[in-house]
Amino acid sequence: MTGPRFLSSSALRLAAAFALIFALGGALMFGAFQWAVTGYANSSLEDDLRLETRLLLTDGGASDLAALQRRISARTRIASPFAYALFDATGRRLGGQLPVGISCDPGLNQVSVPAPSDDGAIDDEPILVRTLATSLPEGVLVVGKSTQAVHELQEWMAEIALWGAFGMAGLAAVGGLTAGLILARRLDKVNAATARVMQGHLGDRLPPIGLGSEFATLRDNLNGMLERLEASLQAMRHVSSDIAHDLRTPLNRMRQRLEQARGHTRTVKGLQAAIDQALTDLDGALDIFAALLRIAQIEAGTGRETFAPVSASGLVRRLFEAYQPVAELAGHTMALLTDSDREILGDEDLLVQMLSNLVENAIVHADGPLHIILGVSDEGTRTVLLVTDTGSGIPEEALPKVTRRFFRIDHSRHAPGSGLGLALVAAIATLHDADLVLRSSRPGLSARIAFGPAVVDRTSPP
Amino acid sequence: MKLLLLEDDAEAAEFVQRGLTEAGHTVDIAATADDGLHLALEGAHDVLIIDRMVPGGDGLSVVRAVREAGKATPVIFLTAVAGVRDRVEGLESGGDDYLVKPYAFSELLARVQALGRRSPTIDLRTRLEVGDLSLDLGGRTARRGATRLDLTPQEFKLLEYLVRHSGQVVTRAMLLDKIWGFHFDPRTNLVDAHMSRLRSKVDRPFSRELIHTVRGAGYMIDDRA
Repeated sequence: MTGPRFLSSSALRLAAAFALIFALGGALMFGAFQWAVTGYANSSLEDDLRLETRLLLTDGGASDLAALQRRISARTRIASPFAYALFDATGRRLGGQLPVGISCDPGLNQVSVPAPSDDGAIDDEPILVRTLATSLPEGVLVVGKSTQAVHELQEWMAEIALWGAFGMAGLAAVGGLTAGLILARRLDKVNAATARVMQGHLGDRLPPIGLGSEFATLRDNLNGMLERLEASLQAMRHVSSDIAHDLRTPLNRMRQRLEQARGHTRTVKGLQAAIDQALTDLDGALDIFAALLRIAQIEAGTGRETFAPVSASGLVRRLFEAYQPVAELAGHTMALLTDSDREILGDEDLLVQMLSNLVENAIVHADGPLHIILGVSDEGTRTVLLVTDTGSGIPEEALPKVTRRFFRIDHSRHAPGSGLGLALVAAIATLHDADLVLRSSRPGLSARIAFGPAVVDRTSPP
Repeated sequence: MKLLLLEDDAEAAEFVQRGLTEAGHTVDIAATADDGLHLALEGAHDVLIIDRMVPGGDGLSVVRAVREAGKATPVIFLTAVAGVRDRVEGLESGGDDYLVKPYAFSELLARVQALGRRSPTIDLRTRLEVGDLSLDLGGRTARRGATRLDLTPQEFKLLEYLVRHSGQVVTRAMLLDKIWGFHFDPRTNLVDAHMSRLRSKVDRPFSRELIHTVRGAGYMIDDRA
């Protein structure tokens, strides 16, 4: 990873974010710790004061000021951490070193005294002394204790908090940076793979990313997408070669016809006939072209966004009314079977074209009078559209191939049609998530298109 | 009729103009979306013929602008844009008809004439007549002279469409579109089969034929001698 890219990389941002979060977290944690410890130290200092007071006042100390004074002197001599002051009822000081000005109101108080320093000079910063005054029958006893130890504890903890927060932030930054760099390195591999795909290696797939199941899912999805794209491109290539092959045939025929007319036809009538023939050839080529485009569009999923409920029986009735006269004129009979009042979710225009192709296939490829059944029936939750005929059918071995573009069975090669009709039927069925089943029904062919239950609020891919 | 053609391919525009002029119409040509919109709003045209892909915008937006300006001039799209959704999109934007390139000129002429003759206000007639054929639109019944014709609802619909456009050529593609809602070209002679049935009821029992085949174009109902 190069310098400027590194600065804008997710690794660095991740590290910075981690560091900040941990620094804040550390500060908060140490702050709370300090608050709790200081509280504890203060309350234990107050307990000490109460205990000392109680010790001094036991065994008659409370009523005998002289004995109390002796006790204070004795304790002062053994360098007790406490300081004292004793007053008689008139307020005269009887002993103790606590400075003048301390509060004699009973209870806890505090006073600041100049700090004694090692060289005997007066320090700038006074020391806070916590005091506990107790009223005696004939005076007041004040016991005090310096809070310096608490202050020192606080300062020491502040230092720990500062370094602790720094340390945690530092570690978090290192951790974030490492995680980010690992991620970046994995993504570099993915980027390299996608770059290869972009260069045209469509068969390439992404390497495992590692790092956990969500990345495995991401990789699977991306690879699935690549697979789909590759399949579409391959289908496109197929179409291109199909077009090259099957579209050139009528165009070539047309060219020859025109060339021949130009060279040999002498009469206006003959030329007009040649032009008419050429126009017919051209229309044939254009039809193939249009059908191919339509199949490609449908295979790409166009139309799904405007699916709406379509009455299944209404649909087959419409087709029946349109084709019954055609069948009758060609010497066939046609029957309508409406055994469903369900709706299919789909594109009505495309469904009409699908059924129309199947019915026309029967009529166009008939080699004698047929009976054609056009129908719909419910089978469980599925709605099945049905077109059957009593014609010569399709040989069993050709059934799987008839929905391919330009596939034609030998015996129908001379029949009209481009070999695209069933390919379009299959494409429309697939667009509707319906299953197309073609079966030789001896005699004839049966085409069944089974639709799933119509769910109106179905979400479709954009 | 006075027509406006929005088409950027000069050769195609000239071809269409020549054909329409020969059929007795006058044709204004615009080659860009802006010109087309300007002419459509300024001139009093009977039909607008609009290409979808023109320099400066989509023909759709021109038609939308014309409709927003309150003009109800009939519009036919003439276009190579022929996707699954494109026809519906064209009609939803305010078009009245949609013809995909390449097309036969006779198809365009028939459709333009059908659109131009359409009565601009809502047609409140309850009775249509051609010669001795009369259609009662309320009762959905048809008579020739005193004889009542026994027609299926679909046959009546087909006959009604022909009679509404009497004296005009109606192409097979127009009938497929308007009567059966088929927007594709069937491989069977679907229209001819229905027309043959209709004729066997409307014309065959009578001495005088009203429905005529127009070679290479379609059908026409007319009480000509």
